[in-house]
Amino acid sequence: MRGDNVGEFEELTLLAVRALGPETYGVPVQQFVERMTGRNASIGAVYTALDRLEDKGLVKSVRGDATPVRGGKRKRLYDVTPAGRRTLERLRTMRDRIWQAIEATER
Amino acid sequence: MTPAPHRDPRLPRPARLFMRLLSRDSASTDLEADVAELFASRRRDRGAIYAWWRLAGDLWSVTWRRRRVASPGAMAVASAERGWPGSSWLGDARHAFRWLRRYPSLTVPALISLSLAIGAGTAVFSVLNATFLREYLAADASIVWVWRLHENGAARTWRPAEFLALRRLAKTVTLEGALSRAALLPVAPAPAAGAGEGDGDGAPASVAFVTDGYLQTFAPPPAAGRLLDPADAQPDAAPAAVVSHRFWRRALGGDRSAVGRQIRVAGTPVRIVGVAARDYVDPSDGTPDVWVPFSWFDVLAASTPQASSTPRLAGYGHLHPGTSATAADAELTALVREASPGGYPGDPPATAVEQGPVKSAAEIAREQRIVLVVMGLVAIVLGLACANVSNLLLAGATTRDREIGVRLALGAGIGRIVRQMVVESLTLTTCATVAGALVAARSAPAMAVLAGMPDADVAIDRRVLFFLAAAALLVGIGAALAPARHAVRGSVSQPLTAAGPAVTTGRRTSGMRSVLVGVQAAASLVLLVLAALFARTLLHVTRLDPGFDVDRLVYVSARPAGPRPSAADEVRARDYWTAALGRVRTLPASSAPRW
Repeated sequence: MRGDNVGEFEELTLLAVRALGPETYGVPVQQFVERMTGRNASIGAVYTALDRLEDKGLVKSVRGDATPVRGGKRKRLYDVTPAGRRTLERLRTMRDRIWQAIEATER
Repeated sequence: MTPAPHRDPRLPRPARLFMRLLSRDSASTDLEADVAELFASRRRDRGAIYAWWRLAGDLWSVTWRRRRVASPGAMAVASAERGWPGSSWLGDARHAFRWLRRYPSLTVPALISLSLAIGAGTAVFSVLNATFLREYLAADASIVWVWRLHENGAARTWRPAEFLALRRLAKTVTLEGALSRAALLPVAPAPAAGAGEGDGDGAPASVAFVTDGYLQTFAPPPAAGRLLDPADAQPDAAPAAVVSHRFWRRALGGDRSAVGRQIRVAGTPVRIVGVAARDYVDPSDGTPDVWVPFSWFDVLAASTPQASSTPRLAGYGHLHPGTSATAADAELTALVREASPGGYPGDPPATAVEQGPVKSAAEIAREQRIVLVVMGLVAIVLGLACANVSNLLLAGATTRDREIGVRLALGAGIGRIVRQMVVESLTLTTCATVAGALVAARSAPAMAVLAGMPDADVAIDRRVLFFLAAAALLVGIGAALAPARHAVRGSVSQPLTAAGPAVTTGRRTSGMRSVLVGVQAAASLVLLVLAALFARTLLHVTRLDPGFDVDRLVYVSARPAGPRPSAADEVRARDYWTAALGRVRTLPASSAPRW
């Protein structure tokens, strides 16, 4: 089920993973999305988006090592793949073009 | 180095259990740690209420989180069964809902059949619960004994002083307390402060007068407030009352603040100190609406023309272990002849004591038989519904051979397939149970009226809910057995290699269905015969010839008001009624009056 089309929440999640850098995991992503958008995002929704992004090949994940924090439980660490970076660039370019068109119309 | 704890202590226990129910794989454990971390961070930053609120949202979202299904490939085939929508119990339930929605022709008849069976069974159980079971479970009636006084063969009332003296002196029995036969007195809720006089005297309610020790011994802890205690029986104590749960619901609207308020009993304000437990069944004949200390009898009952002016007091208690009924009788008879200070003025001392268990062994055996017969009929009705639903599910299962074959080929275990069948059946039964509960709530009062007990408290209680849940579980599992057996015995390759749609009804399946149809037919026949016999008995009773013409029969009941009669008055009363009957005989419209 690979494809380049991403929904709004998937895009926000992908941006959050990229902004937080490699080896981020669900909790910082969820908190980043909430902080930046000002709206509530449940952890389940974040993981659903991450799962979809991984299915589409836009992020990759590995299970981290157990640490003494979090009760010794591991984290699933996420990073943006090259395809994910290209998708973000493409989305940004598309939005920039649209904004340029808007500004040209309104000028 | 100290090993890290296995569970994260920061996630509250209910949430941990919930997540454990969802799944136990490693991904779920990681997710649980994330949820715990978020919960702790929110509680620290925004407070506990906010953290709990968001935790509920997280758990909800985790429940419905879409599971990953990998793209086709070798790994995908291996993980596809794990990614099946029904790889957890909740997933099974979701899948069951979808399946039930897809086949309304199967599910609608099954739902109707199950709802009616569970509803009817529960309604019958509610009536039995209200009439017999509460009493059985409240106390063993066969070990509670009742003692009444006799004077030359006629029942004589028992003065509280007599009872107290006997309670002190008796060695073979423990006299716990005494209760007067309930009198019908007008009882009304007292008007609120500042309101008018209220609605007159109020409706008649049965009021019993008890000595101390009675409620403490026989009544379980009250539903609200307290029971009557010795301080309430003191001469200078304010009038206090305990009301029955039924009266509290009916006359006081089930208001929790009723304790401490006043009601007017025969015009006298009495403070409610407690509400008896719902399950309490009084050892006397019929549970009264209100219990009042005996010291208030003269004030409340004796001055009221509606009530009998004589307190029909009876003592209740237990025989001492190892004491025979004969020994108790001998001791008490001797005591009442010696120590009885006499009843009311003019009464001679009692000459004998009548004693016996509140309910005889024969009565208990008769009631047990009734319960067994009725519950047997309920079991037959539920069994019929079970066979019916099983048959319908089996008919559906034959069309699902291909689906089950695919799942078996993908690596699903037999247990998973059986689990899905059971969950489907339980889902169906759960829906039917909700509808059945509504049917029961509507039909139980009507059934109580038909059974001649319109006042029975047939509201749903814990026992009825337990019956409902047990019936649903049994019917659900029972109905899933045949389809599960069919699914487990199915071949993996046969449905997959079949050319057309997999509608194959093997000899084994049709045999199983024949057995189910046979069971249904047999059970239906038994029920029909029983119903016919019942109807015939009813018809027979209505046509029974009592030996006299009931068409023009008149029944008149009279109870004289006035001062309480002494035993000496009994003779004069008999003369009075004989003379009255003689005068009625002279009336032209009457013939052969009797009393």
